[in-house]
Amino acid sequence: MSTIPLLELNDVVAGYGKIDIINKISIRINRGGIVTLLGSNAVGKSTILKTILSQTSLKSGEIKYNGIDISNLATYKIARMGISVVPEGRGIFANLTTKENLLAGAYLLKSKQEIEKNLNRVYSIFPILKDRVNQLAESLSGGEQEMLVIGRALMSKPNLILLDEPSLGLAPKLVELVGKIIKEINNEGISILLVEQNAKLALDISDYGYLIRKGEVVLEGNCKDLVKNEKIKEIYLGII
Amino acid sequence: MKLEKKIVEKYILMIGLFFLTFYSLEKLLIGFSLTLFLLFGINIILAVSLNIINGWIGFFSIGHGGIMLVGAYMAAFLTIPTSFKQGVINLHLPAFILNTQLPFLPAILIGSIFGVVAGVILVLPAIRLKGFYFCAGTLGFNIIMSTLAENLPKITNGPMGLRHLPSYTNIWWVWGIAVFLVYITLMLKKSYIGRAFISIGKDPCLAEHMGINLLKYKIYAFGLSAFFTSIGAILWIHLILNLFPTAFDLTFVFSVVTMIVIGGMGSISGSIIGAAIVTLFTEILAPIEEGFNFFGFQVPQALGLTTILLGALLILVLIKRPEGIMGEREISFKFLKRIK
Amino acid sequence: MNYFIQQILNALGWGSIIALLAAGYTMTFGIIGLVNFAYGEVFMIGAFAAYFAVTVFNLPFWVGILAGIIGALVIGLAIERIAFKPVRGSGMITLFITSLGASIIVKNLTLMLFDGSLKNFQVPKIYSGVYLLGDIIIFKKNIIIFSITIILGIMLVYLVKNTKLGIAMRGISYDSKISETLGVNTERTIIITFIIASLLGGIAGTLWGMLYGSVKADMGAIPVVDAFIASVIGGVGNVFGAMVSGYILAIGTGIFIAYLPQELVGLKPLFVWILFFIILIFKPSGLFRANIK
Repeated sequence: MSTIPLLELNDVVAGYGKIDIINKISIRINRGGIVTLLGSNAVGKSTILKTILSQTSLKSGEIKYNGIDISNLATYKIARMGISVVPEGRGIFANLTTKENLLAGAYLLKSKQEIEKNLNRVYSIFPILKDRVNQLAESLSGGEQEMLVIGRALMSKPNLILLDEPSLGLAPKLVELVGKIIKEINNEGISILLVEQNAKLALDISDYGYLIRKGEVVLEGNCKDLVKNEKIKEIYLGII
Repeated sequence: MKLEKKIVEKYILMIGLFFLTFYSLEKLLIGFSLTLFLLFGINIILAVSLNIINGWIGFFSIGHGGIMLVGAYMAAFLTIPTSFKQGVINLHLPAFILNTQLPFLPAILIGSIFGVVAGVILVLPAIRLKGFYFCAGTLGFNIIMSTLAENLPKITNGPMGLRHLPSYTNIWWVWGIAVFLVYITLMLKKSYIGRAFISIGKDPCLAEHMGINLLKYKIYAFGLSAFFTSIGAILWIHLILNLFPTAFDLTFVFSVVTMIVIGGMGSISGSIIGAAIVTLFTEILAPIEEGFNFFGFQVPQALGLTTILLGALLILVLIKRPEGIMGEREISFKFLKRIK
Repeated sequence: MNYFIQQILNALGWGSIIALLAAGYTMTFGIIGLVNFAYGEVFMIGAFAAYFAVTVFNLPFWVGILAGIIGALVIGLAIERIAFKPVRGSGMITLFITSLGASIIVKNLTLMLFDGSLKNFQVPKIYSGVYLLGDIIIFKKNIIIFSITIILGIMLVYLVKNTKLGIAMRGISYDSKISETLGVNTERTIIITFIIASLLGGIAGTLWGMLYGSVKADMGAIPVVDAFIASVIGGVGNVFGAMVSGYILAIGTGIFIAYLPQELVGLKPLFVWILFFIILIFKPSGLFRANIK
């Protein structure tokens, strides 16, 4: 069994233009693990995901995927290496139907049978999408759209899925469902990097967590331990 | 009291300087250089007034051609001698127009007021269009106006155009108005109204929240811009002494756009520099366009060379330095203030 | 009634050409927000290339069509590389101004080299001629052009709806960043889009030469505006919408002229602008679903 982590960020400094948002972040995700990035609003969690995807300016540090340096690699090439993303705010193609959105997720697949197989798999995880097959994605409810983007991310059979605030704007029941589905996906071998403001959800389902504040990692550890940690509450609420 | 005296002195000095400069220029410049200088002045007027809309308010308009047509035709109707209007051209205009011939100042004023009306008519429906669609709408306005001008011969004499325009344009008219326009826009830029215009261009939502009535100011801006644009057009036709429906077509508007883009879209001094560059460019290249004899070689005609090079220059500026030469700044005359 | 039908049938010829142009136009409009004023020149160069092959060099007609396509492709891609790629991401207005510049350059270069007169475009005899249906005259040319356009239209709509490329194009039109995260090479897709659009422009130009029997350096000026308006009316980025709108514009203009008094026939270009303003005021997103945010 390989001991190099699936994804690692080493001392990454990145931001937009002249402004640095994240400052020397180091993160590790092992194969098959669920890692969560916690923190309140606007601390740089989403920026970390965007930096992995080369959507920000990487100032220093390196990002390695399976040991290969992917810092500054073109976004579409990163996707081709097996990294999918469920963006913040859903990120559906409102001008495409449900099915077309899912097919877009399968862009990299060549074989029609494989695409069909993955499509059916997504329908079995999210039966509601099958009902909405030919509806324009913008007519779906918030929860359905979330399921659509998760489904879309699954279509390419990725090794690693980055999830950016999947529970945002969802009713508690749906949040629970999303958590369950993430665990289910992980059980099939897909590694997860989860960015979440909802600490309870994140700590419930993840193995390892990093607490981010002002663009830096201030605390990290196994989620079982983090849950008992008093400091988390305080840092989270910005009291310290 | 001392301060007031100083201000009055400053103004008297400036006005005196103005008269001196242009009186001497009038005596010195003849023929080609005079025409060049007049063109430069007219281009300044056109560029600075276009800049108010495109640069400050941030609404990219290419419809000023239509405004110019309205203003120019109106003024032409009034300045062409009555004998021509009734006899030679056979226009079906209201009698009082056919029977009068006005001197330059009233013709300019009336023509420009019509230009303003046209400008406001342009802006009112178009104002609801966002960003680029506004630009497209102004293109439509241009096309609509020139199509109308070409196809209503009873009013405009159609594609044959109007001639016999009296040669009113001279250095005093052109440069008097140009200096005046530059002066008031510089003052405007520092005043509340000017800053309101600029804030609308930068962030309309924020401007609205700060209490600026967007519609009112946009109309003011358009009115001002249309007024001086028309004046520029009227000066132009009384220089070249004819007016056709294609006079202010896309190529013409494009050269004014080039001036403000090269100079910097928020900057008045930039527009002046841009106007200078384009004027020089055009006039210096004009003889080359005709074809000429170069040490025995007959270099062939290259019609449209100026336009091509101008287009290339524009693209170059947009790629290499999109904010233009001056960006949004003005040439600073701070060193002058130290002269006491 | 017959007069009405006649107008509609007449409009099918040039309406088809506008439909093709609108399809190409809306593709680049959707995918990178480019309102390509220079597309009229791509169209024109295509026509000129065909004209040269057929009339000047006396080559067979199918070579002319090929020449038209190649000519348009070359100029379309050249303009893209020189005038559009360097300012990618600069906002619609900057892109539009550069396209204006490119259009003026190409048009004036052509004027300079070939002057502004009408050039006679020879069409093989089998394409001329008419069919008579009672009082109504149907030009053979119109039928051919219409058929070609419908076939191309079906192919285009299939491409856009059912192929990976089509989904990639529509995805990039809506949100290019997210498309990239799905593995789409946006730069390559954009170039392919330009290729398709230039192809369409070249075909349209050749057909225009065939329809009117002549080409002229400034022939692109009015069609490009019609193509733009059809794109907006059809919903930006929507190929089907653009083509249908192209036909609506042509047929509408035809009817408009038919009912205008003789002297005012020159007001023809006004119709499309009236339609433009009406749509933008009442249904700004267009008659069909747009592919942009």
